[in-house]
Amino acid sequence: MAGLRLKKRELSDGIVLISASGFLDAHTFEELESLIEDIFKKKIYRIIVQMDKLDYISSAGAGVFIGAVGTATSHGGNIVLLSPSPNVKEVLDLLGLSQIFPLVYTQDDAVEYFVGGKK
Amino acid sequence: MKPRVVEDEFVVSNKTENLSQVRDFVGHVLTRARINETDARHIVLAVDEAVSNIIRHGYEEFTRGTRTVQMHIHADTTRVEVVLRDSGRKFDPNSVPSPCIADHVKLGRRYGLGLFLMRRVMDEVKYVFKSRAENTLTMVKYVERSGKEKQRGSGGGKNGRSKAQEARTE
Repeated sequence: MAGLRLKKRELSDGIVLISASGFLDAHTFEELESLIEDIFKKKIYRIIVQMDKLDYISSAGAGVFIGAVGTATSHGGNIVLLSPSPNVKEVLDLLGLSQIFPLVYTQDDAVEYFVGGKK
Repeated sequence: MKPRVVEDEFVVSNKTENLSQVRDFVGHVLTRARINETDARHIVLAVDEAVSNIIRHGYEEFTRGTRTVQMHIHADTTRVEVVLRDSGRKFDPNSVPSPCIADHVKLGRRYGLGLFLMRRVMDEVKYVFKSRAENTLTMVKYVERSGKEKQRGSGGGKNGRSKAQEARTE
């Protein structure tokens, strides 16, 4: 049964890239939530979530970003959403989150968001 | 190609691991009914959100034994109706106002967005609570047929039971 697959990679400048693929739903969201909590424990608050291979997201999945963004921004970081697939982008739009979270389409732009003075 | 009337039923236990089967089942029914992809995607999302709410909240207090969610889908030339029945805690979605998303994010509120999505993508969301703990949630979407069939989902799996009735309209 397809689930959620997560890969974490530390970039320079205190940035972590999470690559998510599969389904981010009410069954799998805790995996991503746990991974982000672990990253916060290392005092890293600049997080990029790559979503081009994420096939599906529900409100429970989007709720992970909502729950984490306050901690990230209060420590000078943020949650940047990178290249959401069309299906995922549609749900983010329906929820109004595309207007709230930084949304970029290249990794360079995601890194630039943090090191280019925006955050 | 003649439009189809499709009816099908599916029963799942109260485990979130079954959600992918729920999505597959709904997607497969809507493919058979030749519902356009955008409407089908929205209906799958709404059902996933509704079943998630039932499992995670309606059945939250039922830690012993297995409870079920029964789904019935009817798709005809103009509309898709999904009826969900469960025996969990009474919950009236009409008592919950639509959230302000900006406030939700500001306050870090992770929950309560499923109902918001259901309302956004479906045309009707109705709830009825009967005695003997039966909740019935009915969601309706008025749809257009797609011009061609496309594969969407793989149907029911080992943890669900499905029975289908199909008929071509004359």
